[in-house]
Amino acid sequence: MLILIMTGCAGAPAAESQAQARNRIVYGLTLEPSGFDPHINASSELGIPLRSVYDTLVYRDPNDKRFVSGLAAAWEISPDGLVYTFMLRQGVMFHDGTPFNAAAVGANLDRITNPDNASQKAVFMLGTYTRYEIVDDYTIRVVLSEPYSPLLDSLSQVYLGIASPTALSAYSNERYQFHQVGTGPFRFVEYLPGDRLVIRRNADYTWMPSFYQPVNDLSVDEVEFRFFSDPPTRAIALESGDAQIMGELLPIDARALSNNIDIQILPVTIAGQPLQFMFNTARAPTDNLLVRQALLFATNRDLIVDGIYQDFSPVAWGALAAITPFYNDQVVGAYTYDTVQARLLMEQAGYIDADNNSFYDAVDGDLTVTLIVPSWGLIPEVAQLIQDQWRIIGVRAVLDSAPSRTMVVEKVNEGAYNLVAFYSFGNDASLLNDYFRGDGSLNWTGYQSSDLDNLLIDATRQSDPNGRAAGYGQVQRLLLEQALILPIRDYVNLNGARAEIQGLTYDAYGWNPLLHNVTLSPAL
Amino acid sequence: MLRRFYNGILSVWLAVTLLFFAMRVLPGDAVESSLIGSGASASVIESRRAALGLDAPPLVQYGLYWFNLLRGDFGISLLNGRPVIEIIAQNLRPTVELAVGAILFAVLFGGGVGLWAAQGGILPRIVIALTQSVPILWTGTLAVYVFAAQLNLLPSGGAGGAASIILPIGVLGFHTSGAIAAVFAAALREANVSDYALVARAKGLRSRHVWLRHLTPNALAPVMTVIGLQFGFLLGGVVVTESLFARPGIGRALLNATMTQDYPVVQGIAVYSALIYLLVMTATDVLKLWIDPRIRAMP
Repeated sequence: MLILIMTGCAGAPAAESQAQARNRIVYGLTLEPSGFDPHINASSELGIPLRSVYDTLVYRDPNDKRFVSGLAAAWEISPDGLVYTFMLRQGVMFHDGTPFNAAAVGANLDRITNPDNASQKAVFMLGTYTRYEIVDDYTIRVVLSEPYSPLLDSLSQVYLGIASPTALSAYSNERYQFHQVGTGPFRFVEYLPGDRLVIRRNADYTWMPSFYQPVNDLSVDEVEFRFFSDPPTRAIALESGDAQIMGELLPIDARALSNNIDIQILPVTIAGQPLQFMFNTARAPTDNLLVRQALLFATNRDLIVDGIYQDFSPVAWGALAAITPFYNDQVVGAYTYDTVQARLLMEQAGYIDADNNSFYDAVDGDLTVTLIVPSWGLIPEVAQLIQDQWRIIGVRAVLDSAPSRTMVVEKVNEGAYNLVAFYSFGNDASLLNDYFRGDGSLNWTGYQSSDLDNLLIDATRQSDPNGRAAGYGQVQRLLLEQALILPIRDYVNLNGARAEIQGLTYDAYGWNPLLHNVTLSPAL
Repeated sequence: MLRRFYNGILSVWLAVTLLFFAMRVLPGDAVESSLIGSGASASVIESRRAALGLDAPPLVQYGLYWFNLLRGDFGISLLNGRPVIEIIAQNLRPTVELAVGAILFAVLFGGGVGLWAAQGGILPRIVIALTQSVPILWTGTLAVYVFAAQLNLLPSGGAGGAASIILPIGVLGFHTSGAIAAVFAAALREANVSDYALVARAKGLRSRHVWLRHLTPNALAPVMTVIGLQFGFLLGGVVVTESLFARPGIGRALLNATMTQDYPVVQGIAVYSALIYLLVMTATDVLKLWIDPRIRAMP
């Protein structure tokens, strides 16, 4: 009887409005974010569709990462760095037909900073923001309590995208993610959790940033995003044509597909902190600089990048990925693989192998270091290669697997580790603060130095780009001199696209496609 | 019968309680996991947890959870504020379609294989062994590779249209069918050596007639039980199948919520699954009564 009831319910007609779109594509996302509201949720996945739904006050040009105008036609920063004045573009309309103006920007800032809304990311990106002042309909001032030069970078990201105040007040916070309204080149059509999110071209869009191309007959006008959480299925969906674009292919699948003429592989390096291990300086033997340096020399990064990432990732040498602004290219070649040098340093540090078992001796047996190994991003495979490589110089590595981010934090708090793996994304080098300032919330090295702190604090406060570049340049040098990190590879998103997709490029952050520029050629 | 129902209620209570405390033994929660790396200070994280009642002693939280649950309030997601009951309702239909389809497939396929296995032969036994020993992930990937990527006959996944559900049903149904086939074959073999089977054959009835008309109805009661039990297997199987085929559903929602440590969603789905399981078991008991007059005759 129950079966009958269930079948009855299952048999209901699947009536779904499928409006006609000429150039419709399916775009494969990976994990489904727990929430899709850019002001409230934190996932880097949510920007992939929503970057095209919202405009931001400023944009970063994807080619040279300069700030260019978005919804703000121009802006001024006061000499003391505390007041940012934005002159807004006129004639911009939200998708619901309401006008964009200074009051709309204010309403968005109010929503993001309202503690009741518990923003998971956007509110923290505003740094020292205290309030705004509406000067006139198209001028707004943002006031800070302390100079905070990452602000423009924050305002260029989708988390601070400008939403229609009318729509924001029409829906409660948990409903708004299903009815999002921005000013971008695509309108939000629907989001069915677990199934799909659909956006459709906004024909009225004329206020585009400089790097958007004019629309033509081949321009994509509807995109359906679907979730492919199981990595091996991504390549299959792309190959069978169920998706036209797919993110985060497995390196081995991307390698195999690179021989397929129907598929293009588009690796995009993501700005930010490369995949790296942080050394714990509060625990032996990595409290010893010589040991840390020896372990850096003992790591063959080329082999890791070649074997695990199929050569799709650049080797990382320093604390920032090479495409990140303020990257210091003097780090290249630091601690190149050299086992002789590694052994020399170990012996300088006083380690010997008296029992001749090919491992250095410690007080209680062989010299052992413990690595906290997150279970995603192929990090376990990387750690295994490192384990093999360090065995060659006589150091035993123990891998402590952590299946979730909270488990990583838990294990770090327990303190029984020598290295811990991490990476992070972003274009502003101030993301180093949390990890390397003595009081940083993610300072897992335990390293304390007023020199490093002052450099980081100063580079975050000052607005002169040259001054910032010099400061972060020194920070990157210092982190390697002290051997606080073991960089492995710059993070690369391995995108695949069917051959008929043309003009697919990504924004300055690397994750988000510039869908406005994508065209769909007639079947080849 | 009634006793069985009480046992069911007890199982639901046990499931809720075990899960509730197991999730709180694990370090961290959804609030922490969503805020790591976003620049939130420890004090901000603490105040956010407090606002959601996550800082209260576990026993208080447990009491409160039951209080709300008994009023039909499953709580809200810690990450996006959506009511858990809504998340379940939204994901129910695709999962029911998949589960019912898989059970029907399993009954037909398992029934056939069972009938075949009862009459001897090594091949059906190999099929049964495969359904029970090979992981769904493996057959699922293989099926997608063959039918979607190579032959291009069926979509590799998604929830668009009837064609997209064929592969998931086939894969999940295949794995569900093994137990049904094994039990059916055993019951058939037992019936085959009974007196009435001997009489039927002695009357000169054709073998086919004896197997289908005389033995099969008698072998159905244990099969009904195992079909009910296989619902438990299905609840686990949909988790893998749904993410493998990129389908929405309860299993996928459960997996996502577990990975983000969104307690209320995980608990809500667990309670709901336990209730469904209880209902299905009760329903199969009733069905057995209807199918098998011998059980009705029992005191």
